[in-house]
Amino acid sequence: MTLRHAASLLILLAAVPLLSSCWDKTEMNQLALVSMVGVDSDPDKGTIKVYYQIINPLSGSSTIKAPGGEQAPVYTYEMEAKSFGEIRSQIYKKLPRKLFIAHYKVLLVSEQTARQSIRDYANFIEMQPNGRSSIPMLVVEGPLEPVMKTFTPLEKVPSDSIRARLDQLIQNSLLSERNIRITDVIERMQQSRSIVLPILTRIDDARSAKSGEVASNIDAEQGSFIISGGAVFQNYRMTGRLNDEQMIWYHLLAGDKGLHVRLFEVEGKPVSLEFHLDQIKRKASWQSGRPVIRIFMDIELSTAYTSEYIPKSRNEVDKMEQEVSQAIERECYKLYELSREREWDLLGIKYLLRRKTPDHPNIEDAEKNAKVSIQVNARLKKMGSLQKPYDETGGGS
Amino acid sequence: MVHSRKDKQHPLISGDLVRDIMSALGSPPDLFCRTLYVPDTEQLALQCVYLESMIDKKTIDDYILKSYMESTFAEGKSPHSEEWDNFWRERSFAEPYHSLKEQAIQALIEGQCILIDYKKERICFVNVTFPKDRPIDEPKSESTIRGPHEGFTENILVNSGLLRKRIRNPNLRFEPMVIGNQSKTTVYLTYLQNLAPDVLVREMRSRLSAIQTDSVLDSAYLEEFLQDRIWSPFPTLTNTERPDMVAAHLLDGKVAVMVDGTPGVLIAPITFFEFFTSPEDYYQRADIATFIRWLRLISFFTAVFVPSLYVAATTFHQELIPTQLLISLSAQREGVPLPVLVEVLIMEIMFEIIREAGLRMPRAVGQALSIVGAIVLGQAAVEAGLISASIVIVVAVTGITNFVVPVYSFGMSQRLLRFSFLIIGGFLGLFGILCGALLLLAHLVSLKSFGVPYMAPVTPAQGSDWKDVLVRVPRPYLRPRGLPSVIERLKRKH
Repeated sequence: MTLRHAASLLILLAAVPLLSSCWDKTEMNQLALVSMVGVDSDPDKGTIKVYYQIINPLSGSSTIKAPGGEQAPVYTYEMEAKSFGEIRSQIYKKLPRKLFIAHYKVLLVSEQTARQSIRDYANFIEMQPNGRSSIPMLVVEGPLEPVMKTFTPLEKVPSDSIRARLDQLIQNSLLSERNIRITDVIERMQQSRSIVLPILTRIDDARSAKSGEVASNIDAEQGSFIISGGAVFQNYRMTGRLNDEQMIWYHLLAGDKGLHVRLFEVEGKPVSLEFHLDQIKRKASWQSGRPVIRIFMDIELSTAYTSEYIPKSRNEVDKMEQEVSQAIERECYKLYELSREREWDLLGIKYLLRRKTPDHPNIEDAEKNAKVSIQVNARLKKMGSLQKPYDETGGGS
Repeated sequence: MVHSRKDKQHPLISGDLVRDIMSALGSPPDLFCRTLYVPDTEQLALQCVYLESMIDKKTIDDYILKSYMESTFAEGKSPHSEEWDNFWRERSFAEPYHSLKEQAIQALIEGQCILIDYKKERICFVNVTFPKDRPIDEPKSESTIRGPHEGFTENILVNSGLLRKRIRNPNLRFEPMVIGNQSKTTVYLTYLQNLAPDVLVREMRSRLSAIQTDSVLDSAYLEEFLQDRIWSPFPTLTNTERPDMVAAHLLDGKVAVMVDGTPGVLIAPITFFEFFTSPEDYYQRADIATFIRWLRLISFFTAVFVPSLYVAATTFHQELIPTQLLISLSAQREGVPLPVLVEVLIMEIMFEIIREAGLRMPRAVGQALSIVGAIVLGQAAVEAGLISASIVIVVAVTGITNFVVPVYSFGMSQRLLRFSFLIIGGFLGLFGILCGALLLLAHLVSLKSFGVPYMAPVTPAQGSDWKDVLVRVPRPYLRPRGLPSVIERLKRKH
């Protein structure tokens, strides 16, 4: 029995060196908590720039008073090196604490870098033991540095501001989607598909280096940036842009079931309608050697936000449904044409064909020759609380 | 004093015995000898020797000496019955002097009074002990809201009476034993003969009779001899001052050990999950009892693991902490000079010191201690930059949850475990805690209490007993047969 105890103790002791231990112990106040990472490049010098936005813990906490008054919620460090690997060694020239990127919330890539390639960066993230790839990636229009050095009102930490805006957009519109994480980018690129990432655009150049000034300024938009449009990526490279209107139809065709309110024209009159995708079906078949893709979409309409015109009879409802269906079809076709013209695969046709016919010798050609039909079936499912909008005639009914 | 019959009588006459007793006991101040003479002579008639601190003086005055003087005392033949013998024993002068002396000394320290009757040449031992007991009171360490409020006292007879009051059953057995070479303490092995498994009673009896010790001043003395494994933080016997709890366990077929001079009664066998139950569970509605039981379980894990998990997560696994919390914790750590592990250790040790001081200090200084305690463990320490605010919360939470478990001795084991896990967590991180927890689990499943697996009924699984482990089902559905399966199993072993 004693021997058994001694043996088990020995095995335990032998396992101890394998455990995490004092050697990797880090106190929390030795960490530089990264909230946002930005990647830019300088093709002239052949260098890459990585911006780390580090959270200042003393600024965010209300109970611990920061010495010396108001402090910046984040500090931006700029690192320049010839490769991503080098940055890990160079960073401590400037940074006094251990870089801790496990909690970063947003990754920004400058348009210039995105147009070259983001493959290296994708590899770099996958290489890091505590770097997360489940965070959204956005493209910044123009130079990256001003965005990385911009304070945001309400949400003091800029990455929180961007994440919160993305979440709100996903809930309330079709302008953004959930699948814009780094891992989604890598997955789509490896499957030779396209992905559209949101674009951050600066509103104007006036910006403040003091967070207090931003907080005390009534104009929340001054010097800020907005999320607008999308950057299309093919093969780890940004190859074009979509505007907000195109983003709606892209997300709709991608199967996003978010709500969106848009102005349609029904019987020559403008009508704001809320719509969301109920279901989408994609069918692929071959007719005399040519692929035929049929996309069916069921869309639910609501007049909850309609103040212009409320249909009153069955005929009016039918008419509205028909015209909205046609309008959506038109817009979707337009996006498809654009996608074909630019050799993107926004509708995932190539991916669909490859899945259906994995042995096909030349999917690229087949996709180009594909006949695509989009059929939209819009149904008015919800009525708003307004039966009769106030009109110009005024008074009594 | 010279007596005419001195030479004819036994040598002890004329006060030799009294003198010898006095010298044997070291002439204590409470030893009294009252002498009655034959009227109008100097001849000794009666000597009454007693320890005044042990006897009821009124009985001696009113009944013994008065009766003697009225000559009623000495008349008639004493009845022979066991009861009478307990009260009244007679020895003749003719017996060997040495034996008489020894008996007399023993009787004195047991609280009897010695009458040396020169007229009839006999020595009588009269039991006039005055019981020095406190009244039956509510147990201080195990207070209850609903249910009986009586607690055991230091008198074993009173205690057995309290049990009989609850179990009016002829099968209730009290087996007396005397343990302690010096203290000669009376111990009762108590059980219900029809319910308790023979093998369990035999085992307890043999363990009790194997005890070789000089004194038993509390049941805890016996607990160390009786427990299955000495080197384990977990008690394999439980102790209580509540008669209702002992009665409940006896009715479950368990055995109890009562010790004279202490209100603490030992109960065996006991399993791990029984430490989370309390007799009060059965005095409340089933749903509330279940809720409270879960609270106790959560409290156990909180008390044992929270400090170590906090240290491990904040020193090794910051990735696990939600971002906002990490920022907040990180802000609190700014400017704190000590590592988290040292911070927590200091605070935990301070808390234990304050708690220990609070248990034993005089009441008058209580207020001073609570003020100082609040400063040491509170905001002042945080503001001085010595510790971070979150540590105060961690220590406070563990401190409170430690008291939730109904059995105090189990709470003590939690304290030991907490410190062990704290050290492991501080040096080896979550992985270390996991290894420690697995070791602890292995230890728990290997433990047995009087042949009953400690983790029963979870492992080995006893489906029927699950009704009273994590949930307490309403009484009508609870054990229709009467006994828990583990005890049934022991019974079948016989």
